Amino acid sequence: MSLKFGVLGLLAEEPLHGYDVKNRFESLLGGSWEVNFGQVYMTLQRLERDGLIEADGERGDRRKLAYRLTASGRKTLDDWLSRPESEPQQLREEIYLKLLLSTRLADGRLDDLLMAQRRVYLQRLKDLAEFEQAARREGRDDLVLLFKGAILHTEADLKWTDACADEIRNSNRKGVEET
Amino acid sequence: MSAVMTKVLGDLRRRRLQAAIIAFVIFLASGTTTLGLTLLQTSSDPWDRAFEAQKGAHLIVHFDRHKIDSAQLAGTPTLIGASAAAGPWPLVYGAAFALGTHKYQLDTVGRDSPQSDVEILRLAAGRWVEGPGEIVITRSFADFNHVRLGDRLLSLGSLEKPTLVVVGEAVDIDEGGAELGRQSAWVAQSQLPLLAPDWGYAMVYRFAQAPTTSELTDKVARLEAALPPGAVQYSNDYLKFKFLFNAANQLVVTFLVAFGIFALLACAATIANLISGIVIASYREIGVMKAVGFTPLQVVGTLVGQMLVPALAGCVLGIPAGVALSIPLVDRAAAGLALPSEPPFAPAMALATLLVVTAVVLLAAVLPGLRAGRLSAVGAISLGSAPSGGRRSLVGSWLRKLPLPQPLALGSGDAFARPQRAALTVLAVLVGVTTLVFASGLQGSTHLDTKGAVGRIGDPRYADLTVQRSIAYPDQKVMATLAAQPETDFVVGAASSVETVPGVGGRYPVLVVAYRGDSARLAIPVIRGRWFNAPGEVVAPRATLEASHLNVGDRFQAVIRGRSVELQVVGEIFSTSWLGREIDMDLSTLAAAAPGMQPTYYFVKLKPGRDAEAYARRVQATEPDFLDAGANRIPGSISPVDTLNSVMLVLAAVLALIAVAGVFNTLLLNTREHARETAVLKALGMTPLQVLAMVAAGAVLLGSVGGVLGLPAGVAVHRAMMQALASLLGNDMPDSFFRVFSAPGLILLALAGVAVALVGSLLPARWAAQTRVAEVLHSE
Amino acid sequence: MTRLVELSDVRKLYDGGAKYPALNGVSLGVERGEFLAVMGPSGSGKSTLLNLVAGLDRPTSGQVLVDGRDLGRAGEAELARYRRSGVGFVFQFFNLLGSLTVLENVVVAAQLAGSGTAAARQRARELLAQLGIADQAARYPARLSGGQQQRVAIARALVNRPLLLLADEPTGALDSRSGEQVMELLVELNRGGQTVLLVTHDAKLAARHARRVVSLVDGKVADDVVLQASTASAAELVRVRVEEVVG
Repeated sequence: MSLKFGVLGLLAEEPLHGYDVKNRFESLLGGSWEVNFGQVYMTLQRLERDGLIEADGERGDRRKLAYRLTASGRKTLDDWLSRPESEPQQLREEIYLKLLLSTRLADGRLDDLLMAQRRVYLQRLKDLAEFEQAARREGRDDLVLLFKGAILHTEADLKWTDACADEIRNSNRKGVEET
Repeated sequence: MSAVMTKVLGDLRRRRLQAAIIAFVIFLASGTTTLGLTLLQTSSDPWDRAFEAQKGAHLIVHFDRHKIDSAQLAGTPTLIGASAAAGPWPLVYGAAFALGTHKYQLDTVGRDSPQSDVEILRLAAGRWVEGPGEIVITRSFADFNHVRLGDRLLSLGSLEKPTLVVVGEAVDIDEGGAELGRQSAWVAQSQLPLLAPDWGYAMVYRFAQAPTTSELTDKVARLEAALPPGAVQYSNDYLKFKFLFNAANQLVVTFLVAFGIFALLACAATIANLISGIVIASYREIGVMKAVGFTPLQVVGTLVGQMLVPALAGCVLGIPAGVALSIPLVDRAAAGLALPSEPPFAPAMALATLLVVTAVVLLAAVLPGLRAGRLSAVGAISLGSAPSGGRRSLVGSWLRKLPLPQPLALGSGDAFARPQRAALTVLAVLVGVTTLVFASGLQGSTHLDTKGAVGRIGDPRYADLTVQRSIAYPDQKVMATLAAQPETDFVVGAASSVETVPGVGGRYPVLVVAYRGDSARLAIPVIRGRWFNAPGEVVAPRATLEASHLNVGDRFQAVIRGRSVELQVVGEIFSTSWLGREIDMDLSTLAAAAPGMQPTYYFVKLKPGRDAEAYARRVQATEPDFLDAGANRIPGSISPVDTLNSVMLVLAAVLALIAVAGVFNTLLLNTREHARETAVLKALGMTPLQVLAMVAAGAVLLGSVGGVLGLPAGVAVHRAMMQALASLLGNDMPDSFFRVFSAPGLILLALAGVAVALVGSLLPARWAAQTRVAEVLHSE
Repeated sequence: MTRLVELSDVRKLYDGGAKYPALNGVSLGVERGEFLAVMGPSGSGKSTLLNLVAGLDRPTSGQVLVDGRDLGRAGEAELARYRRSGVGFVFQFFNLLGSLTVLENVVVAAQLAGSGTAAARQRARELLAQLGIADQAARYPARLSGGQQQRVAIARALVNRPLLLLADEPTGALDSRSGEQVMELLVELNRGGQTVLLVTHDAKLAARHARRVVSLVDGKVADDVVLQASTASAAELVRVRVEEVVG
């Protein structure tokens, strides 16, 4: 996720001081959001340089200034909001890499690895479900959506893992038949 | 068990229409069966009771008074071991009487009291004769001929023509209705000899144990052996009277029971169809039931229960209806015996009907139902719906090759998609058409014109006119009168008398009919062989031939009036007088045994186009008292025949209704099963009218097959029943009775099958046409 | 104490069927009070397993013991008795009897177990009330929503206090909200001591509600894992990565 649009989005609500921006971010995603002030500060500067935000007040100590969106900034934000994501799918699962390498190495420990990975996913599904429920109870609909997304991703990963296991089994079988 | 009941009641609530169909057809079938069984059980009862109450005669013998004396007569009871006897009573056969312009023949007996040790006569009106000049007639005769107490009858047996006043009406159970046979009458013993030139003696006997036919035969043989030859002129017994009385009832009962069975068959077919339809529609549900814990037996139980409950409801209404319908029939019989009418109480028969219906329903339901019991729960739940009956069946694909409009071809193919169901439906239609064909044939056979009259003595026989003369009037005068008429074409005279002819007819009396003239021109139906054309040749109906163990072509010795005569059988004829106990010959053949016998009947054929009524009036005018001239009219129908016809019409209606219900039910099942496909067709553009045509086409096809098959079946049943009827009357049926079906008539009857099917298809076709596409296609 | 359900090397072959057996040597035990999910893709044998435990089918070889009763050896009548009071079945498509009212659907199951009609009706009403559909008692199933129908099915499954409650994709035909309600019901029943065996292809469902997940692949048990109550923090589960956009 990019900080740039997050900041623009927050400032769209109301002008904020730099410090408030950081705090808001943290509360927005309840601890899942790893952000430090340095990053926020740099982003603010860059945005101002690009003319998307402007300082509200006189120059002086940057840390005490409130920023607000410019017209250009608002337009950029709106464009971004209405544009669908067409970034390529980010696959960061290490399991895939392990799979590739294990196959090459012809290790034979693939089944166990996949099974263990599976269990991790299952447990994660359980855990995420509980969090989702908790978020719902607290009325944190935004968090509910986050957890839902995580669940669905995990489910996808689980299905992928199962597909890999299936594929391996089938090729094993073929191998056995051919011999 | 309560679980099964819960499910059964729930299903009945939902399937109200099918329950109604079952209840309806079972109502019809159980009513018919009950009627038949009730009549079967109660028909002989009234007669037996009346017989005992009247101390009826087991054996009646008529003696020639010239060959026997009073001492011998008095010894006859001991001779045959009779426990009681009455007589001798003087009697005259066929004494002629006139009332106004009508002439009658009555077997007159001289009796001074209605009471007796044997043959008590019950007075239905008036009183017994107290002296000469009075006469008692039978109630049946009085009703049939509208004779009342106080009417004056003129005896035509002698030139004095004495008058006799009707003083009483008696009930005599020995002779049947006046429309069927000659009646008896009673006068004072002293007056009897004055009513005819000659007379004989009658004795009646009773035995401690009701004798069988062979025992009766023995007794008569003993009498004949002990007495001078020719003394025993005639004998008759109670078994024959009972048979006569019951004959009509028996026929009705036979029909009812036979067609009751047909009705039950058709019901069974309908039920079997319903059950298999339900099984097919409820495949998944049956699986669920098993999953929930119903045993296979309980599953079959729910199916059978759905049929049994409405069937029992139908019985509850049908059985009392059948009993109620039997009341008028039983009443008539009782009235004939002057017995108070009692409602036929035959609880055993009602129970029997209930059991039979239950058995039929169970059988029809269990066999297809077992399929449900055997379904694997797993398969049923996962498959969901039953394997399709192969909508595009063999017949269907064949039919689609014909250049028929698409809806018709589809519909016709659909009808045979499930062959079992189609077969059962065709069966129901077939049964209905068979009954219709039979009923129409029966109507035809019993209402043939003069050629087919169900005969009795003195029936008009294929002549335009019959003239009867009283013994007192000379034969030459009659012949002269007739010859003098310009319209006369030819005249055949006939003399008849009842004789016991050893060698002919077994031990029973036969009607000997001797013709003078060209009797072959009378065209009496000859079934085998030919009419006689030489002295010594005779013809007779089947009963006589069978009883005498004779075949066409046989020569045999007969004894007529004590004289031995050589005869040869040359043909078998159709004549129902005396239930086929008759023998016809030329008068010359009889000359040796009964010299001087002269005709008393004259059959007159007029030149074409002449007025028979005017002729008859003219001849009558020449001798108003001693001649009876009447133009031959088509005989009015006889009441037993009427009853038979009415019963058959009702039965035909019943079975037609059952057939309609069967077709209705089948089409309902078919259209429901094909609801989805019909919806698709409609979505693709088929109009409601085309859907209607599609369904109707299936019905027409089923109806046609059933109709076409029902024709030969109906004709065969007709043939069989007519043959049975004829045998009952001692004859073989002449072909003319079978040829009552015409080609256009048969085609019409086959079309009746189609009509029945169409009627049954109306509602289902309409419902199918009204299918709401969206609803059907989007539901599970 | 012996386990409630004990499968020992169970094999099931369908003649004329696939090359491979539907179940190919499955050994499994279920304790009283467990909430077990059986997962697997189609063709894995999970429906077959369910059918065997439900007494709807018999194993080709091996033993299926439920509460000490050998289902493979039992006769048809005995299996029917078992299905009445030993096991309660909840299907994906509800499978209620269409010609009976909601109440009658539950009552008939009780009657099959020998209950008198009055007692059956009483118990049925209690259950329907517990499940929140007492007001639907006199209506026909076709008129109820999917979620309501499933609740009737659950009532029917429970009326004879079965040892085992079997659920075959119980939420498959329901919208997510009704589905959740149904699953919550099952969890609650389990908390009350009811042994529940859930069959599903949906991993989310299995992991979320069940304690133990058995995975079947090609007719064999591929995995059997007991899931723990969550001890992780959100951060350990989910991380939203933030990156700077350069330029």
